[in-house]
Amino acid sequence: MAFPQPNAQRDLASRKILEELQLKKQLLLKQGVASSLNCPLPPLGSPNITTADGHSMSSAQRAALQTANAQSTEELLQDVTDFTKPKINLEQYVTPPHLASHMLYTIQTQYGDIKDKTIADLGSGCGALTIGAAVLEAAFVVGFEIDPDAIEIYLENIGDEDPLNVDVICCDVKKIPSRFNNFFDTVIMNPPFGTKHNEGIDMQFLTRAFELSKGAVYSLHKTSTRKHVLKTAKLQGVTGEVIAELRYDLPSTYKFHKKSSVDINVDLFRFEIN
Amino acid sequence: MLTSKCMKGVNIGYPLKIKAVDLKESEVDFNPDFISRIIPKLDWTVLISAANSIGKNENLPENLLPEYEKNTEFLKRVHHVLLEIDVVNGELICPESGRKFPINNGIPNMILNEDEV
Repeated sequence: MAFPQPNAQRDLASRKILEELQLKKQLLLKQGVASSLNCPLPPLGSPNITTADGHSMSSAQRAALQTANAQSTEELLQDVTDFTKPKINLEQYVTPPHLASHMLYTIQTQYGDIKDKTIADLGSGCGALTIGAAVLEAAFVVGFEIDPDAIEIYLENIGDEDPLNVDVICCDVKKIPSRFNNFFDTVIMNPPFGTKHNEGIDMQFLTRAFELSKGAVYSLHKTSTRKHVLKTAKLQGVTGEVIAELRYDLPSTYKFHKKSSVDINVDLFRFEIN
Repeated sequence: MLTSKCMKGVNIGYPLKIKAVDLKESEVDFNPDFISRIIPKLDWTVLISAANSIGKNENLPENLLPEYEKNTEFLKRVHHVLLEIDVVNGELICPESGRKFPINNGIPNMILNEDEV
């Protein structure tokens, strides 16, 4: 049909997502609690196993994710709309639902850094990580996003009712006031990768994240920049480790992309703030 | 919610004044631990004047109560002011420059023009 979708219909869709959110939240939480009891931390140097869906992680992590049934969150996040008009100067790439859900589940089941925590999402975009963290019962989530158009889509994603403990602020991550330093228990982010005339932006995000968090920082970076990421952290006196290797199935977002989709290897880092 | 919005103002002056056009009150699950943990991070005086300025003081005292973490009734009132009242549309106003930051759909826009940086 060539007619634009009427508002009422879109509102209905939003409400459906929201209802689903509430239902699944209960389910997920029960599973989340159960798995955190049964799942010890993976021993250092445990072998990485690449799962059928292309994710490489330790067996313990994999077990945790399976127990926790990351699939449900993934389905939930499938409904999260992504950028309609991506802006290359902001390096806008959507966080794919399966990546977001795996990331959040690992963070909650392995480290317990989501539930009841105060969380910041830097460069929150259309809100996949923000909404996901809220679903996993974060006490409060603040998304910082520079692009009002992305926030519009985020607002559509949460629908009319906005029952979540979430606040989104339209501002430049580099200019988040120092009043927020050490304010958050956990900072999560899928920052711009720092390519395309944006060199160094990823490290600026990381540095700011270290200041904002008093607990932990979780961040996605291209595997090819791993050494650089760890070195940058070390210079700030922060130790980090790669807790999962993921494959970012990046659909062709921009016109200059020649292939319809391309796999990029990314690391999920965990940084501990002292 | 008000707190984070006030806190945003620090770049250019603090605290920002709040002009509320639409207010929304909603119900959010009460989490006493979270409220207890968040209170020491807030500038209490600023919170009180912010709540006063939108007419939603909820009888919060000028000075923070001692042993507030044991006072559930007090924590509930703080919870209400912090989380359940949302400025849907309005403005945040810089006390020094008078610069207005619009709030639309509950989202404050703090982006400055290039010539304002």
